[in-house]
Formats: sequence, structure tokens, C-alpha cells
Amino acid sequence: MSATTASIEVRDYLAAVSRELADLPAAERDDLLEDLDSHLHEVIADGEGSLEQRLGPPEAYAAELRTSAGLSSSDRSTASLLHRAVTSLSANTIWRRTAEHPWTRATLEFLPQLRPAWWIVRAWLAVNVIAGVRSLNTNGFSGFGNFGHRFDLVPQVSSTKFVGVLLLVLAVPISVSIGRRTLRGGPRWLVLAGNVFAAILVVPAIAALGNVTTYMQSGQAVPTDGLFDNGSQVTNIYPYDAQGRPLDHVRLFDQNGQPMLGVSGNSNDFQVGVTPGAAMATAAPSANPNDFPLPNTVTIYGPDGTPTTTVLPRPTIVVPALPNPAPTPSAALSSSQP
Amino acid sequence: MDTTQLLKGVLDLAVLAVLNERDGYGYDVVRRLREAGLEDVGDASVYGTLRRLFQAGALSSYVVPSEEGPHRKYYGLNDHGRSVMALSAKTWVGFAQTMDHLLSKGAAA
Repeated sequence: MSATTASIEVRDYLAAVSRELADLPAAERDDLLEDLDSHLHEVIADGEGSLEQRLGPPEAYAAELRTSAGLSSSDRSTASLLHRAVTSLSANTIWRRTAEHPWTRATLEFLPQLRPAWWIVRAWLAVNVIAGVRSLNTNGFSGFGNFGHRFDLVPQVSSTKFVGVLLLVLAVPISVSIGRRTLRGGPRWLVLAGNVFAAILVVPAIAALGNVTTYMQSGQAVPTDGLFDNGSQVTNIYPYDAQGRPLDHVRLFDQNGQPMLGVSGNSNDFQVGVTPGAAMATAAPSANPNDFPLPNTVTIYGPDGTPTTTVLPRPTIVVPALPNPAPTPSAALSSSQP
Repeated sequence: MDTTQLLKGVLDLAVLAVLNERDGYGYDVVRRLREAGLEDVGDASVYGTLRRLFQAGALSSYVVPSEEGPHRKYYGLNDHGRSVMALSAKTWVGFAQTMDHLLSKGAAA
């Protein structure tokens, strides 16, 4: 082997060893490697074969050097000292112990599996935000003031639940596709911002859902306005006095002193023929929603969309007079619907 | 039994013993250890041990120009090194006797 090739080989081997010891302080490393150049020349001059064949890979050589020279840990460098300090400090905290607890690990491993569920939740939240903004536009700020109560299982975007359902049907696949694209590396900062916003909204949403007392029945949208009796909507109330005589212009208040507002219109409307849009336009608000019985009207639309409003008579309800003095509950009130 | 594991514990003493015989440079020490029967001794281990013993003040060093290659840094025991070696040798002899005793008892049984 010529002197030149030997020098190149020594130089390369030395550089590789030096790289492996790059974490040592420069002075310490230089001191350790000071004589290695001449040493490696001795080795290569003594026998046959390359340095790597005779001394093994430079990585192993560097490791052996480190151990035998008593430098197994690079604890004299500032960075490693700091690292060790942080590690030992955090190692003793409750936080660290909690984070390394098997239960925590199991939970953290399980969380990514919930990702698809989150995609659906955030879609629902987005539709609720749309509903909230629309409510703000329609009712002014007072209607939006208690934002938490605007969360519904099916958000009320328009006067009917239909638009909310439609938006949900659109929003869920969009959210899922965003989620799947993110896994392959999409516009992460945008998705992150949206996720943070949605995560903040989860808190009022859960609080609001806790207050929901009506439940979705199969094929039926959840009503939010109006009066309810055991979950089904009450469209009118027919009060009777103790003698069983019908009362007019009765005003009802709930336990909080709030007037009970009935909803008139929609449920009594009928449409004859196919005239899209006509039924929606004519849900006339009643004069005073806290004046029972509400005006019992039926609007019938002809094939050309012309409405014909008829005032229906009070339903025939036989209400016996209450026996004195102990009042007994009367089932007559809800026995009949117009 | 893996002699490299055994060697780790006594390499300091082995290097001191070689240098106590006469001064030597790095590769010379490797060669003499191998000639003495410690064939498995690692080149890097000897080099690192020499550096460490030197840093610890057990060795003195001097450079000798060489005709055919680079200068050679020779290491030799100083007073501190000789006392370290005497102490280590004592420990080793005691340890070796204990092991011999254990093994002779096992062989006799």
C-alpha cells in the first residue's frame, strides 16, 4: 500500500471517528484524537488489510474509544447537561408519572381511533355555527345572546329543520374528506385553526345539549319552539274552569314567570295540489302567542297557490265540573285534537 | 467465557504492566499485549486507556522521531503510575487467588 493511499484511508477513517464523537466538547475531542492519526498510520503500516478490516467500522471504533477513555457519557457539554437536568427534573414530577402510566398510554393510543368521530362532531358544530350566524342576522343580537342555547341536534338554520338536515348531509362528507386529506398532508394550518375553533365550541355545545329536553324521534325533526306535553308538540290549549265551562283569552305562565308561547300556523296548514314554496310563505304569526286558545285556523291552498283560511270551531270536549272540595285530575284536556 | 468482558476490568492493569516493563507508544503497547496472549484486546481500547491513564496523571509521555513514519508518542509510568500499578496488582492477585480457590474446590468436589 502506497503512502498516499494509506494517508487517504487514515484521513477518512479519522474523519468518520471524529464525526461519531461530535457531541464531545471540541477541546476534549481534539485532545483524545491528537495522536490517533499517527497511531492509525502505525496500524496500517504493520500488516495487511484496510483499517476497516482490521479495526472494524469507525462507528464501533469511536464507541470503544469513548468507553475506554472514560467519556462514555457526553455529560460535560452544556447542551447535554441541560438535557439531563430537564430530564431528571421532569422525571420526578407527577405529570411525568401520569404521562407514563399504562392507562394514560392506552388512552393516548386509543385516541387516534376516535378521529372519524371528531370529523362528524366538527361538521355538526360547523352547521350549528351557520345556524347561529343566521339567527344573528334574523333576530338581531338579542336572539344570539345566549349562544349556548342555539345548539341543537339538528340545527335550525331555516324555519324548518330541512335546511339543517341538508347542511349536515353536506358537511359531514366534507369534514371527513378534509380529515382524510389531512392524513396525507393537506393545508394543515387551516385545518388546525378550524379544529381549534371547533374544539372551543364543543364546550358550549355540550352544555347546551345537556339542556335539551326533546329528543329526535325516527323520521321526525325535533321541534324547538312552542309548547310540549310528554315530548309531543302542543299546538293549542283549551282551558276550562272548575265548572267545566270553556275559557277564552287565558294567559299562561311557567314556573319562572315566563309567558308560555304557543305556535300557531304550520301544523294546521294543508296544501292541496303541488305548489312548491307556497306553504312556507303563509305561516302567519298569531296575534298574541300567549292568548289561549289560539285562533284555530286552517289555511287551504288551491292548485294555483291561493290560500283559503277558515276559522275552525272549538273542538267538542266534555269537561265535567270538579267535585268540591278535592280537585281530581281531568283527562279531558288532551283527549282531542282539532 | 467472553474474554473481552474480563479484559475490560483488567485492561488498565495490563497496560500498566506492559509499560512497567518498558516505555512504549500506542501501537507498540497493542502489539505487546497481543504477543503476551491478550489477542482480543481492541486497538481503540488500548488507545483510549492510554489517553485516560495519561489524563489521570499515571503516565508521562515524550515524543520520539521515527525514521520511517510520523513521530511516536511514548508513554511511561511515573511515580503515581507505579503506585497505582502496585495497588491494582495487589487487588488482582487477591481476586485471582479467590477465583483459583473457588475453582479448585469445585474441581475437587
